Amino acid sequence: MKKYLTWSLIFCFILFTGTLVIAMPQGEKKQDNIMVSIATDIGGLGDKSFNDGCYAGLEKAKDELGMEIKVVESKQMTDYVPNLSGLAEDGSKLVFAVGFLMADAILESAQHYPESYFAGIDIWIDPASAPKNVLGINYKEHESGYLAGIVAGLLTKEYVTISPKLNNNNVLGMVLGMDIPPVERYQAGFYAGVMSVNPDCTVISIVTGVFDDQAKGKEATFVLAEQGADIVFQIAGLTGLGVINGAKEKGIFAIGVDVDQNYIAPETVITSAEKGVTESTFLVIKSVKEGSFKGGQNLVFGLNEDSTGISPYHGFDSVIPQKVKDKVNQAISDIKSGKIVVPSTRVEAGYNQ
Amino acid sequence: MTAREILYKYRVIVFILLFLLAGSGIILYITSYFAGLLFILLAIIIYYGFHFLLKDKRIVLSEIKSIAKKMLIPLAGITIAVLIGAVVMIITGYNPLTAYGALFYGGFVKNWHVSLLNAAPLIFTGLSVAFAFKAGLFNIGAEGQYYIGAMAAAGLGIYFDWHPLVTIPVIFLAAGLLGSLYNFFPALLKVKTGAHEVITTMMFAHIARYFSSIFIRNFGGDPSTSSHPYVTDPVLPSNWLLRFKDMFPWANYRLHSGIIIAILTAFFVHYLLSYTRIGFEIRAVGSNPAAAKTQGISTGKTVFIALMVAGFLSAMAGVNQVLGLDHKLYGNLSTGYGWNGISVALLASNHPVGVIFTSILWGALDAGGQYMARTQEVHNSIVEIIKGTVLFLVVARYLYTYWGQKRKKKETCNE
Repeated sequence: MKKYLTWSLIFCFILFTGTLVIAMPQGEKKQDNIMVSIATDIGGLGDKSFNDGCYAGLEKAKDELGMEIKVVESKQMTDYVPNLSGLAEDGSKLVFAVGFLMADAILESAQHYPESYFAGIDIWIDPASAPKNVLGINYKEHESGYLAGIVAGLLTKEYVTISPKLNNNNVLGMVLGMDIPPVERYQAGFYAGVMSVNPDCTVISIVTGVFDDQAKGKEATFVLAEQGADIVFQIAGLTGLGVINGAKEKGIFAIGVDVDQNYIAPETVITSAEKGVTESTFLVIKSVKEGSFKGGQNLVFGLNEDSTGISPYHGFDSVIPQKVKDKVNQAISDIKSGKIVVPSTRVEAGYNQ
Repeated sequence: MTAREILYKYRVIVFILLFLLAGSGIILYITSYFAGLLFILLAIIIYYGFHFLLKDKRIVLSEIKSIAKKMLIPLAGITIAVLIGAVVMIITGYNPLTAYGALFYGGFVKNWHVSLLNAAPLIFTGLSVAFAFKAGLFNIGAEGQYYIGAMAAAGLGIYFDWHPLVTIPVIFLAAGLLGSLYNFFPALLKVKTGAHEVITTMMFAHIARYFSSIFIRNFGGDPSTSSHPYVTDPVLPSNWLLRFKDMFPWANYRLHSGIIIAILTAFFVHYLLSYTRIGFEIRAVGSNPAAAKTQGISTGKTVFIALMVAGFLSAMAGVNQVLGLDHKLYGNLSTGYGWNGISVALLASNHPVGVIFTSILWGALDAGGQYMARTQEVHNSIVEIIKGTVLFLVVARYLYTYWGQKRKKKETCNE
């Protein structure tokens, strides 16, 4: 026993001194390139929508602007501030916080690391009180939702004959992650879009309450399918992958979110309500490189910036009637000209469920 | 005059110096300077060296030996887990040396303050689990009591507007009592019907967790009306726990006095368990309920007290988090301090003071894991692998005793 004890103690001692010695020279590495980084929310990368879209923007910056990039996923909520601050400490010139829930954390970090720039995607900052190195990046998600709503509203009633997956119930479904403003904007826009072409349609929403649980998304989709929905719009991040898979299993259609998600299930995803996270991330990085970054404000990207809209129909291009496409194009030009003002909250859209 | 006599003559001065060294070490350590630990270690070594010179050598040696013996299994577990983690890293194509370097550097040096912040609630929940364990009960629902405490702190912290010296103890007490009350029903069921506390407290944990989202809606986090959905209104600044930065300008701005409250609570629990009548009864019931009963100890009462105190301690973790760090209660908060408290308590073999160290280790692994993920781009699931392996090896300590007995049997047979 004594022998084991001494040996294990000696071994631990060696191990720990060893790590100390290794750890010490890890000082500041000099970087030639400007470093930009993102800290994602829990769930993070691999959602094939929002977070991956931002990361794609960083990779584009790496390829085209020669930036050094870094990404870190939060494991729990208490990691937000250490991660954002840590990235700034490591020498990131620009740190992205991806996700509405990181709003408090980005303000706190920005306040304590004034030499770095911070940009919060989906985070609305208060220009009066926020530090000058924070930028809020927001989107007019309701515009994309509106266009997707037009497609869904027309297909589920007038053009049910184009595919056996559609039915005569005139019911549409939505699966939401958490009920936060960007999600609500999609929801309100979608509802308004459906109502503009199909006023007696029933639109059912299910709030799963999570962005990182595929099983819950699938479950919600099954519930919607049982209630007669033939097209399900998912606004749920990683949970939404479960929605798409569930729709595939149940033989109904799905509408993707944030980026073009057709490739996940080409037979199921008719279109996606997009917001240009990749492009806007890239634009902000470019502004840092050019020295024109201006914080303490919010940027809002919409149709006029070519940042919102719906993605191509891919395999459904020949199936979807020209009249639907015309209606969508008409709506795009009406929104751009200001003829249609898309509601951005449930109250404005008159959607109470 | 021999050296020993000189030492004896000036022992008061030496002790004062030791006290200063240890005190400054603790202050530095707790205000996020890792070097403080070296001061404390130095003080401990000097203390033992002093005793070794002045007193009976055998006593000191046996004391050191017994401490080392207690630490053997956890240390061996950690070592093996680190090796397994290294194998995983080699297989997945990372350099384990630099990764562990980053893990250590991040957890104990660079992000030491994050480790402490992670550790404070773990100490409370770990104590809660350990306390119940001493009575032979498995308080698996510490997570639920944590939520109860956090909700109480957020709710009361928004409205109480007195002097902080009044409000903070009142909030701690009120939240703690609510936590105890929350464990009242599982305790009642356990005593009256024998329903197992693992099931009941765990179900109660889920109730509390999902109740918290309703609570948040009613305290300013309603998604349809609020500008900050899924978050309660902030607690009044006068109710925040004191931040170290206010006292020591060099400290990290996020560190708050919760860690000190946690450590003091750990020592208090140790005192309660080891030196009081109720502590003795709890330990007696835990080690052998039938024997305790024949000795006239009321088992039911002891079970009640153990579970209620456990609830109180877990709720304190929630208060610590809300008043100290977040200043509001977030929805969808999946920190898992309650569940991790079980690991921490098991690793410390339910010793209240040991819980402090294991919590800090756990917190440092989390903080260092994030640092490692950030700088070395090693996925921080390695940290979870290490944690799981450590825990497995420590919990499997019965395996060692089994092997030991087998070997002894063999030896006696051979003789």
